[in-house]
Amino acid sequence: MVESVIESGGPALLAGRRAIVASAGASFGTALAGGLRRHGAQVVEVDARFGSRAAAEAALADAARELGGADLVVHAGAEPAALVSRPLATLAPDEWNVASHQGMLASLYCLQGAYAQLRERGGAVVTVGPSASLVGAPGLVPLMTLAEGQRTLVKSAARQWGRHGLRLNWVGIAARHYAPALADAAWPQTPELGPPPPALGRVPEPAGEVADVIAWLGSDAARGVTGASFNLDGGDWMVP
Amino acid sequence: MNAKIDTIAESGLLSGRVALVTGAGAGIGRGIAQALAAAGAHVAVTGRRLGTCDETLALVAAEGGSAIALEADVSDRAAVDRAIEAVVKRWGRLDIVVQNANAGADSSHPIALEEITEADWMRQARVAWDGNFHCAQAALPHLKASGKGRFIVLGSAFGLHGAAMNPIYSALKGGDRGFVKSLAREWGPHGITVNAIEPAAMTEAAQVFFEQNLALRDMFIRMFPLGRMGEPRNDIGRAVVALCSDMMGYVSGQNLPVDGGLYTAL
Repeated sequence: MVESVIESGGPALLAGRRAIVASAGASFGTALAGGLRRHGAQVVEVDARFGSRAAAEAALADAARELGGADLVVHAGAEPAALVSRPLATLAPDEWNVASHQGMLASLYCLQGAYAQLRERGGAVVTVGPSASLVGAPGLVPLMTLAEGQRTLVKSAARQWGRHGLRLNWVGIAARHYAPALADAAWPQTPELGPPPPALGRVPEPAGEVADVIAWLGSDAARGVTGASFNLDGGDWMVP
Repeated sequence: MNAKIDTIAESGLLSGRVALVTGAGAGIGRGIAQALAAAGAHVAVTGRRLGTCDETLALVAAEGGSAIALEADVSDRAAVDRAIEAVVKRWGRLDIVVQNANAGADSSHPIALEEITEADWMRQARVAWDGNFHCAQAALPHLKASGKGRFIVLGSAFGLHGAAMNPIYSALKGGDRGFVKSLAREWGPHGITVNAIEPAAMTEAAQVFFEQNLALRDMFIRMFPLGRMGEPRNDIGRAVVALCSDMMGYVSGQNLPVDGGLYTAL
């Protein structure tokens, strides 16, 4: 367990802040929610498998009501259909449809729901994806298409909503943390002949170092940061 | 386009290869079809409207190239299957697929993210993402058999930087990047390369737009280090030819901006 900022006596990054964690994978969402509470936030978790804009707006509005408002919305999620590793050639049309379009629409609805909560007073949105989306993965074409689509949507949203004081960023995490089902997928290896990656010798955990970065992105300390991609792989790919 | 055509650069690079270009009834797709044919490839010109494909065919014929026109909407899997069957029946093989189709003018209309509906998303996504999926699945057996298979997706700088103007188009073109990188890893063992090109070109549609917005045109052109927008055939088409040729056979999984130096953040 990595020592957290707050445990080492630093300031609570999210003291008095209200965070909504919308996740399609319960284990990741709960771990992250715990990490954000460690940074002083009040947190409510919601299921991110939104089937409609109305469902997303209602879920986020309910969560904000429970919290007395919202300052940070974290979104992570893909449909189970996107989390199965298999060649594109074997994918049925419906599986492609659910994995790509349904996943993307759920992300769009979540951003729209977040906008409804944050547009008056500003705030932060963090979209979480698998870090491998930056390099691609065989057998996971729909998930990687979805993840890069989500990452680009975050940039467009950041450009459109910056004037309302909304900041939106993307964080890539280890695939096995993003979805346990992905642990056995055939991940590409970094072309490294020296000491094995990652550089830090560990991959950040959702409740620990991942939550630390997301808490920072939700705090005033990151008020100048929007539209950025942060790859929390412990120093593996170091993409351009 | 009205540029002087010079076929020396690409002559013979793709002799005997067979290519299918989607969305080739106009603009960048038309330019790519022209350049591939000028390089010696047999080209299937596909689009939603046969009439515009026939116009492309006439341009190819004027350069002495070999092509056929096929009506095919890439959002319709059966139509893609039929087009590929027709290509293989005609020339016995398929070596190159260029997935260039997009949902027409929808991609260049400004839209506020908070107003996007499911219908807005699907109208563009059915062409861009489903088009990739359908073309890839249908072409795979033939690209495997080719020994020099090439699958190229036309992306956009909007997908690299995440444009404010049209979040749907930006996200779709951004998603293309994940598609290409992953499929390149999946198909590498079959000897097939998979890449994306992010073009900037003065198409007929762009010309019409800029003629109505001259100040915008001048401001936009100033962003290009090379001082101009590309020509569909000579600038974008030739880059596709290069990527399809043996000269670039060891390049895969890449996103290549062909945009006069516009986007350099990679």
